Amino acid sequence: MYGYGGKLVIQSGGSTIDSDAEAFLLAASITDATITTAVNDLVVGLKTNYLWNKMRALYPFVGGTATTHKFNLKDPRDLDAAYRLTFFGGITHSATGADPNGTTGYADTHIYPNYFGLSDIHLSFYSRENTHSGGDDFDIGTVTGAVNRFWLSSGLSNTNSPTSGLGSVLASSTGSTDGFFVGSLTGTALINNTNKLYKNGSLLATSVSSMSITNNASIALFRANGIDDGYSNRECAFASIGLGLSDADVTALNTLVQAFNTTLSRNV
Amino acid sequence: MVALLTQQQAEALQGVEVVTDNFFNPIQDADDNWIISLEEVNQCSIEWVKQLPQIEYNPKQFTLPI
Repeated sequence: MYGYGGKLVIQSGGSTIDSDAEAFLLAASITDATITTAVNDLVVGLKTNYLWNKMRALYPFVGGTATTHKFNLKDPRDLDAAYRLTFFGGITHSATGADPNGTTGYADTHIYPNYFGLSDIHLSFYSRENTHSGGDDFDIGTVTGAVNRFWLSSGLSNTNSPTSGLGSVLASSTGSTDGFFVGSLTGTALINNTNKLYKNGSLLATSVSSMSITNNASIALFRANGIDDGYSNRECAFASIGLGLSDADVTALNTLVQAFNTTLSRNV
Repeated sequence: MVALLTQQQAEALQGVEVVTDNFFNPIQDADDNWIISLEEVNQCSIEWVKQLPQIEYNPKQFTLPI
C-alpha cells in the first residue's frame, strides 16, 4: 500500500487491522464491528496520506460514553500525558458524539500551545449542529491575550461566522455551523505565516498571521481555556490538534473524516 | 434554568464525577451565584444535588482579548 507506514495485525476472524487502531479499540473496550471498521479505515487513511505523523491528538468520539470518548487515538494511554480528554460539566455522550450544553460543559485536552512551533499548527472540529449558545462560543482552543490566541469556532457569534484565531483572527462570511472545520497555520518564521480557515475541505479565508504563544492555559474543547468561558453547545463527532496542514492535507483529511462519520451514520 | 449552589456545595462538587469520567463544573453566573447545569443534575446520582433549587441562568459577559 503506497505511503502506508502502519503495522497490520491479523484478527481471530482472519481480517487485518492496523496496530494503532487496535490499540485504541482495546483501550476503549470497543468491539463493535462498524466502529472497528470506521476507526481502522481512518487510521490507515491518515497514514497513507502522510497525515498520521502530523497529528498530536485525534479524538474520534466513538463508543457513546465519556469513558470511550476520552481516549486519544494517536496515543490511547489512559493518562493526561497522552492527551486524553477530561470532561467537565454538562455534556451528553452518545453514539453520535459529545454534545456540550453551552453553559458548563467542556473537555480539557492537556495540550499546551507551546508544545507546537509558533508557525506550524492546526485545529480541526467536526460540528454536527447548526446552533449557538447565545454569545461568542469556541469549539476548541485557548486564549490568554491579543496575540496569545489558539482557537477555532464554527460560529464565533450569532452571525454564524466561522472563525479561527491562530495569532490573528480570521473570519469568513456567514454560514452554518455544522460541518468539518479546520484552522491551519503554516510557515517558517515567527511572523508573516499563512493562516487559513476551511470548511468541508473548501478554503473559506486566508491571511498573514503572527503568533506569540506564551500561553499557560491548555487547549479545551467546547470553550476557550484561559478566559475559561465562551462555552459552545455544538456536538462534536471528531477533533484533531497537530502540525500545520497544506491545502492538499486538508482535502485528504476532510475526505477521511467525512467517510469516517458516514460509516458511523452520523455525518451532517 | 440552572441549579443554585452555596459556595460550600460548589467546593464539595470539585473533583466529583457526574458520571464516570465526566466531572462537575460549578461556575459563577453574572450575579456571582454558584451554579451547575441541569444536565449535571439529571445525569448524576447524588440525592442532595437533585434537590437543589433552580434559578434562571444569567451568564457572565466576557471580553475577548483584541
